[in-house]
Amino acid sequence: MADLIRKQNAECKQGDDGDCGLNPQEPPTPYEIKPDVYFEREVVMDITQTYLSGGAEHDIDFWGFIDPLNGGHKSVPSPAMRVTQGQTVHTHLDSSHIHTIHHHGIEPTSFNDGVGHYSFDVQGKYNYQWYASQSGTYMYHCHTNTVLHVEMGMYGGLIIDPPTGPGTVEGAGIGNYLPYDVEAIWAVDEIDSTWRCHAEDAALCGGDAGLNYFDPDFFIINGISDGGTIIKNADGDDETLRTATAAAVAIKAKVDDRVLVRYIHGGYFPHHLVFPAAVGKVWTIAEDGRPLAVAEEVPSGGTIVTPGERREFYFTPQKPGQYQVTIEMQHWITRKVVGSVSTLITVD
Amino acid sequence: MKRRDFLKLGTYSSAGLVAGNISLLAWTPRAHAAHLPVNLEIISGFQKMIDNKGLYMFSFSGLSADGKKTTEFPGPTLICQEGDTIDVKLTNTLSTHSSFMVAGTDIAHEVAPGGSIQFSFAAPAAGSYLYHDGLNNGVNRVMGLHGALIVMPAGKKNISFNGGPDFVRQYKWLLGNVDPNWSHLVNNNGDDYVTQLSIDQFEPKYFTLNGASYHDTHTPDTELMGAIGEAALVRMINAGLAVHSLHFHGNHVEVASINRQNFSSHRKHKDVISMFPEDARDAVIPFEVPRDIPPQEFKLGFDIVEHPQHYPMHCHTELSQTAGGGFYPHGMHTGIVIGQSPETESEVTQGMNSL
Repeated sequence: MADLIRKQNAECKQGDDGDCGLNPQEPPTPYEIKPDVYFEREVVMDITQTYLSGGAEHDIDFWGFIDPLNGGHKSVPSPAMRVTQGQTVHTHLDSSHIHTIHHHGIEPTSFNDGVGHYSFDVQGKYNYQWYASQSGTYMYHCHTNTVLHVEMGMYGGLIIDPPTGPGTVEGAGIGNYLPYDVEAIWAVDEIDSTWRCHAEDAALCGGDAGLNYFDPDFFIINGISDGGTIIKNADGDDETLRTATAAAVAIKAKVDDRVLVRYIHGGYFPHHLVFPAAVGKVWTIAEDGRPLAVAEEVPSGGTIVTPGERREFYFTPQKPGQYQVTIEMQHWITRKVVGSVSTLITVD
Repeated sequence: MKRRDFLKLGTYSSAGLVAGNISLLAWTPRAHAAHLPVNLEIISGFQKMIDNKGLYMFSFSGLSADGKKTTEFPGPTLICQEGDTIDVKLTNTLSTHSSFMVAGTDIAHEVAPGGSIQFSFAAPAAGSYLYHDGLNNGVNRVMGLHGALIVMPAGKKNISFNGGPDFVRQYKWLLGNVDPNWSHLVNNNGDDYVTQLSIDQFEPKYFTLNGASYHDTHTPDTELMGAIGEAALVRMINAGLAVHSLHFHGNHVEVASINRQNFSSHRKHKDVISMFPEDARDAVIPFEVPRDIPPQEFKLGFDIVEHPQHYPMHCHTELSQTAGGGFYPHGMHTGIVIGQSPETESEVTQGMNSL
C-alpha cells in the first residue's frame, strides 16, 4: 500500500508552480513592544508518520512548525501555544521557505494577521505581535497556499486561559468561569495521502493540481488514527499510538469529574461528532473563542462541526464505564461518510 | 433556439451593477404594502471564470419595463418588505423545464421549455431567502439559476427582524459552485441534459461569492467596509451543492438568524459560519477595532482611521480557495476593510435607501 501511495505520488499534478501572488519579506514588527510571552516556531518540511491500516504500514509526509526553545520535536499537529488572557504575545516565525503564521480566531492588525495577500509572506524571520483579549480555543496555521499547507499539517492548537488560569474556562455565560478537572484538546483532521507529492507552491500560478478534489484516506485526532500511528516521540524513539488509548487524546476521568473537551476542526470535510448517551449530558459552553451566553446541550444525534470551527464541550460523567466518542467525516458535497475516527472516555 | 450570449458579470461589471439598475424591486421603508412587478427571463450563456475560461451556464435575468436585461448572474436581488405582493412574469428560453422556488417556503412555480407564466406571491416573513430553480435536486440551481430574496420588516431599515441587532448597511453573499464538466456536458448535449446529472458526479472547480471569485470580489457589493462602529448585516446564502465554512478575519460576527430562525437574545459570536446547501444565515459584523491589537500599539501611534485594516473572509473548506484545481486563493474569498466607510454602498444598502 505504501508503494501504491508512492505510485500515486509519481503521477501527481503540480499545475503551474511558482511564487505567483506571494510577497516574501522579513520586515521588523511595527510598533514593537516587549511581549509578556514569546514563542518560536521554525518550519520543518520533513515529518513522516506511519499509519497502520489493513495490515500494512503507510508512510505519510507532513510539514509543520517545531518549537526550538523546547527541544524542537517534530509532531503532528505542531506544538500548541498557551497563554493567559490579557497577555501580549510574540510568535517568532523562522522559515527559509515561504510561509506565514495566522493565529486563527485572533484579531490583530492585518500586518500581524499572517495572510500574505493582505500583508506579506515570511521568508526569513518575523515576530507576529498580538494580544490575547479573550480566553478560549483557537488554532494557528500557515496561510500561504493554505489549501495545501494546512492539509500538510501546518497547524497547531492555541489556547487562551481566562484570568482565573488553567483549570477554568469561560463559558455557559459571559464572565462565567467554570472549573474543570480533566481537559482534552482534539485537533481533528482528514489526510489525503495522494496530496503528499505537491511542491509547496503547487499551482500558485494556475493550472490544475487537483486541489479542489479531496479524497481522504486517514482520519486523525492530534495526528493519531484509530488503527495506530507510529510516531517519533520526544526521545527520538518509535512509539505506536492509537486514539483509543493515547494519553494526548483519550479521556480518563473519575465519576463527578468536570471534563472539558476543546474541539478544533483542522480539516476540510464536515465532522459529525457523537458523544454516547451513556456518558450523560454534554454541553457546548463556548464556540470559536467566545463563551456562549447560555450552554447548549449536544443533541443525542450529535452535532456537525465545519472547517475552522472550535467548540468547547463540558460534561460530568456520573457512571463508571468506557464510552466511545465517534467522529464521522462526511463528504462536503454528497454528505456520505468517507471515514471516521473515535476515542474512548474511561470513567473510573 | 439556443442563446449564446456571453454573460458579462461579476467582476467585470459590478460598478455598472451597483450604479445602474439596483434591484428589480425598488424598496424603501414605507407604511403601506405594495404590489411589486418582477420580470424574469431564464436564459443561458457563457460566464467568464476567474481564469478567463468561459463556461456555459443558466441564469435568471431581470428585465426592465422596456425589456432590457438588468442583472444576470446570479439572478437579480429581490428586495421587498413584509406585506408586499410580488407579481412575477417568468419566461423560460431554455430547452428544459425550469422553475422558480423560494427555499424554506411553499412558493414553487414550474415553467415548460419555451413557456411563459405569471404568478403572484405574498412576501414571506422578514428574512433572507434563496430563490432558485429547485428542479433536478439542485442541478439547475448550481447551473446558475438562483438569486436572493430579501424581505425587510415593514417600515424598518436598520434591523432585519423586530428584536434583531442594529446595523447601518447590508450585504448579501450568494455562494456558488461551478463544475466545468457539467457546463460542457449541458452545452454539448442540450439544456435537458441537466436531468441526467447527479450530485455524486459533481466536482466543482470554481467557487464564487455573488458570481465572482477572489480577487474580483473586491467590489462594493461583496467586500465588507465600514468605519469603526458601522455595523453591517451580512446575508449569506448557499446556492451551491457543497458545505462551506465562512471564516471572518478581523472581527467575530454576531449570528442574527439561521434560516429565518431569529435570535432576539443570547446571540452567538462566531468567526466561522457553517453554510449547508440552501442555508440562509444572517450575521452582523460590528466593525469594531480588532480586539487583539495590543493596547500599547495605539499608545505608540497606531491609528486605524489613518490606516484602515484589510482582512480576508474566506471559506475554510480550503478546497473552495482554488480555481481550475489550483490558483490559490482565487475562490470563495473577499475582503473586509475595517476603519473606512465605502465610497459606493452595496446593492442591498442602496436598494434599502433608494427613492
